[in-house]
Amino acid sequence: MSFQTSLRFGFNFFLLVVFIYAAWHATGFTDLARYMPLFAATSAAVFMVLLLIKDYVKWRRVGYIAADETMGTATLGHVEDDQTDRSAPEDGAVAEDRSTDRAILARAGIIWAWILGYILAIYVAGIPAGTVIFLVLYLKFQSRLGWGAVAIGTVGILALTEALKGALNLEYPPYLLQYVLPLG
Amino acid sequence: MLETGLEALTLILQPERLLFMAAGVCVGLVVGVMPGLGGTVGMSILLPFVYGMDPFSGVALLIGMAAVVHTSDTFPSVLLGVPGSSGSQATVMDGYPLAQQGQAGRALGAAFTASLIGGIFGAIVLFGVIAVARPLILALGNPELFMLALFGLSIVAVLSQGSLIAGLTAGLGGMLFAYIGAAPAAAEIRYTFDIIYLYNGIPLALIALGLFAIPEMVDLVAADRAIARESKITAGRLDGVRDVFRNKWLVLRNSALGTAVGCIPGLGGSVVDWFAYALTRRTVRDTSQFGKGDIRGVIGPEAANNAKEGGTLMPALLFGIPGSGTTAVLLGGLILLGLQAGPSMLEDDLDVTLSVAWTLALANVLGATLCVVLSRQVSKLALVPAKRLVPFLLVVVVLAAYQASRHWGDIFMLLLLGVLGWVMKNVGWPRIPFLIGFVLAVPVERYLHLSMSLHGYGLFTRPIVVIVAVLILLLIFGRPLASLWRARQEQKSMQPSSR
Repeated sequence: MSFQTSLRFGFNFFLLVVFIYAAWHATGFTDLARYMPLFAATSAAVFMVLLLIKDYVKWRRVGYIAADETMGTATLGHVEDDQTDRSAPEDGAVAEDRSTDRAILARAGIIWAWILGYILAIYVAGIPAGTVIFLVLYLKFQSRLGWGAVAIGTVGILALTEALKGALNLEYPPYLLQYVLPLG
Repeated sequence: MLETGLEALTLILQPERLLFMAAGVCVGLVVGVMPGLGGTVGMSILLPFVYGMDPFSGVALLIGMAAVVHTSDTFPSVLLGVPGSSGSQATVMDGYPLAQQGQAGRALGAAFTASLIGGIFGAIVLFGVIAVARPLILALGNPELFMLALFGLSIVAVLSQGSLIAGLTAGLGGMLFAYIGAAPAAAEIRYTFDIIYLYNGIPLALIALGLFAIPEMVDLVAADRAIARESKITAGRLDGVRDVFRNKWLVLRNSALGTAVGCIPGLGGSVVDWFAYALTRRTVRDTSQFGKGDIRGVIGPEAANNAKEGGTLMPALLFGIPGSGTTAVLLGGLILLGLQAGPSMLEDDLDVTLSVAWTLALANVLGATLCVVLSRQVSKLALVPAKRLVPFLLVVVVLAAYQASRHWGDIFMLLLLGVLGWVMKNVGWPRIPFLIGFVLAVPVERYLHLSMSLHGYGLFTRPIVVIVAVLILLLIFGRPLASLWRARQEQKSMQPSSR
């Protein structure tokens, strides 16, 4: 079973549990607040069961569940666009699909790590300093740009955020070092 | 009505509002140029910034963005052979071959002019429909609005890509998310689990940014696609403009098609694009060059996909039924500006509604002009690898997300929703119905409560309510029943006939 298919089954089961819990939780609301959440959660749970059955039947028949919404930029769906004949898989083809899966997932994992790192940097040092740290590191080591481009990009985005802050009366979030490093 | 229209125009032409419109147009042009982003992401980024604006400025900013996404999305379609958005897929068919033949300038000139005319056509039709439909809309009561909101949700779920069941479930999931927080009809806090941040519910901006912007950014970097061989912009833009006027009836036909199809919730830009391409091929002479660089293959779809915007605004503004992610977020923006889509947009806020039509027209003029005049500079954005622009986009997205309720919970919720959106995208779950379910959930509940209070169960005997209910049932069960009936017919025809 490919990663995408496992992810879909796992996600669908997770949603089924969530909807069942939401329906049960809704029974505890007062009358007027109960009807719509109960209707939505119960209907969703029923549809989830039908979807799980449909996916299982399809998986048994063709060996995978392709992404229905492949918008051309979906990381995993794009990999499984080709029809895979379950009855006669070539070892090389299957191995290549799986290694492509892994490579793409690894890159996705890296960008998620960068996003988390940026959030952490903001939490510790605030938006201006956190943005500088994130952009310098990302543009230099991930995008592999020269120092000139890194500097221009970083200064440019800082100028934009400050301009937006002034023009639209935006606020920056509080951060851990704000009394030590009052930059934002 | 005309007086109010002229008043709305005067308000829109004030320098401050023109500036906001220009800012929206600039954001729309950038979003359109970058493949994979689209109007929903652009609207989500702007949404938090409209807090505190006056309605006209906010509308100018948001509509200015939405109006021109399908103008600048032509750059990557023609120069790279990669659609800038779902609405410019068909443009690649003839636009890219033209560029490879050294006629990129002509293709772009034709595309921008056709987009301009299509966009203005859509705005004129929107204006006309507002005038004509006003008495009908004002006659609708809470029961009718309740059923129309359910209809909007059903049609988007049915027409969205992917399975019907996934679409409906996604819509219901979106509704559940909307029920987090204070109930509109009772003194009850729902699904908050004693987390104070959730008492006011989840802001729409976070749903839109998390479900659409973050997954796109992750996948653009992760997919790491090589850029196709790019074509340079050549001279010949004026030739393209002349081509449009030589094919004026084609432009008008496709503009009408785009506006009409845009009115149907759930039929997105990609559908309009291909419809227009097919219509163009069927209605012109000598189709031998289509797919090899026929300028009419660019003109038709481009006129249609800009005209579509006027069409999509009709059900959104008049009935509160968003037909796409962009209009769903726009409705959220209207709520932030103190406006409510539906009858009140034609009564108390008619001047704001008409300013939408004016902004649509003016933004198309400004957007097309900028694209023509600055084509070489704007095209450079299309040539920058998306992964290099993603970190800058991330900064803007995080800053925008924090403005939703100015609480650290906004950023954590953005992350959580980003993970949800990425998983949904990669396992084939449609996200547009989720967003629309989220937007429609509270109005549906409010209309239901008001209808039950005023009419009781008698609301289900009202004629329009019954008609719409039947339409909903047909929508949901029609396709599976038709498939079943077809399968039975095929089985019967395969059985040997007995003498």
